[in-house]
Amino acid sequence: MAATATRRDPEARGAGRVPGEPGTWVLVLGEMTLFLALFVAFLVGRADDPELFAAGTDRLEVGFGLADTAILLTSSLLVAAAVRLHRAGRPVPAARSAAAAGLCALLFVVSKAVEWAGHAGDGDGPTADPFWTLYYTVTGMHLLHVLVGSLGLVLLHRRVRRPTGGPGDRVVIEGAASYWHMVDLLWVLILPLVYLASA
Amino acid sequence: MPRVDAIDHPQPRPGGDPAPPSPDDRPDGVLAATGPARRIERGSIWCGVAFTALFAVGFAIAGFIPPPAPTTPAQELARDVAAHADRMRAGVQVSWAAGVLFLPWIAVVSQVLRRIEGPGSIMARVQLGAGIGSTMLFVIPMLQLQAALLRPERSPEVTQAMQDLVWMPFVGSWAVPAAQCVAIAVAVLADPRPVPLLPRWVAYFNAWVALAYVPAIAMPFFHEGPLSWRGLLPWWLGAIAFFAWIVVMSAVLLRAPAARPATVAPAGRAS
Repeated sequence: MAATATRRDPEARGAGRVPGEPGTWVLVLGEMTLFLALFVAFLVGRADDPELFAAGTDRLEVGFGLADTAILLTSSLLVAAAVRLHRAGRPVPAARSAAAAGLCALLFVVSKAVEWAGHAGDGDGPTADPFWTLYYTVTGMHLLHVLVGSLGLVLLHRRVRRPTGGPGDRVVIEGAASYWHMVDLLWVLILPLVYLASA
Repeated sequence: MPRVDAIDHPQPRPGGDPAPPSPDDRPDGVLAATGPARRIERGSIWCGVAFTALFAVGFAIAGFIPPPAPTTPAQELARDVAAHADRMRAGVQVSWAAGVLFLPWIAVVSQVLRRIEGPGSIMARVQLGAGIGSTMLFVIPMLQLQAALLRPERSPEVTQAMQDLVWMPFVGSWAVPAAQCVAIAVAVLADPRPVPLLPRWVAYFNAWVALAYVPAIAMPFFHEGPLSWRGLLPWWLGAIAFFAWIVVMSAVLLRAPAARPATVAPAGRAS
């Protein structure tokens, strides 16, 4: 990636510019559209069989949902801090902050694995009924995006820890940070949709 | 924001290869400017558009939008085949044969990636190979479907098993077309020119299409719901992403600036 860095497009600088580069937002908005379709599928499934979904929601551990939310909000804060520290020319604390955000991502994956294993062990596997299918689909798609976003965090970490800025830093750092904030935002939407709403 | 200013005026990285200076101030392009090469390239791009149109028309004729559900009982599946065998056969004939129109389109994309990458052009070759693989993963299940439709009077369980052998690879072979998109994304992002030959958002769009194919990874575990082979994610999202990809990529290529005459060498490589 580093050798590719000289060609950022010249329009994306100054006052009117977007974080990352305009293309970053093609990806981010595409992903959000995809999740919108998934949320609609969940709502349609619930409208189809409200009692089944209420029973399913009751079997979820809200504690996992809230802990995951806290983990991701913390990681977003750490990513934002890493970007600010990088801009302030402080590579060491910026790298530390980015690494801590990466640890949060790992923690999220572990938490999700424990939660899934618990439900599957209780007989609530992905094919148990439509609620569980949609629960695993929505959280699984989100987990996939956590993994993609974690790759972005690795790239971000590699960039911010360098003492001198390299070409293309801004595109990679802001792009990875924007994607990670999207992953966080999607979870904040999943929490009420899947874990909290039972009516 | 001192750091941002520093990035806006990049200096050669110590130990890194600086991008070769452009021999011409005019931005370079990707397609041939004139002559038969231009007509062949543009015709090939339209072949890709024609492929998707005929693919959709054939499937609509056959009544496979979406395909039969994995939960359909064997008796019912066999009854449907018996009732509509000729319509299904005709539709599938249109769709599978249209698959060859994908090949010229893949070749143009490969050519464009080669101009972007220059000598070496690994991603152009990956794209070409994955594109040919995608074509085969389209054509072969469709011909197997003709075999499944050939004898409506046979035991229903056999027809059901044969249809499993069609839809599982047809919808489930997500990684091959995804590799094609990833190859395009990598080549576009790695373009060393100050003004890239293809706009960089094309890379991000291809990354999104590749990600949209990934949910099919869960398809073997589900008979119904959004992850089954006719569900929201493997079927509808996959189909929408694929069609959007052909249309967007074709539009980008048709509108891309023509190459400087000097670079339209027979080998088609940007120097």
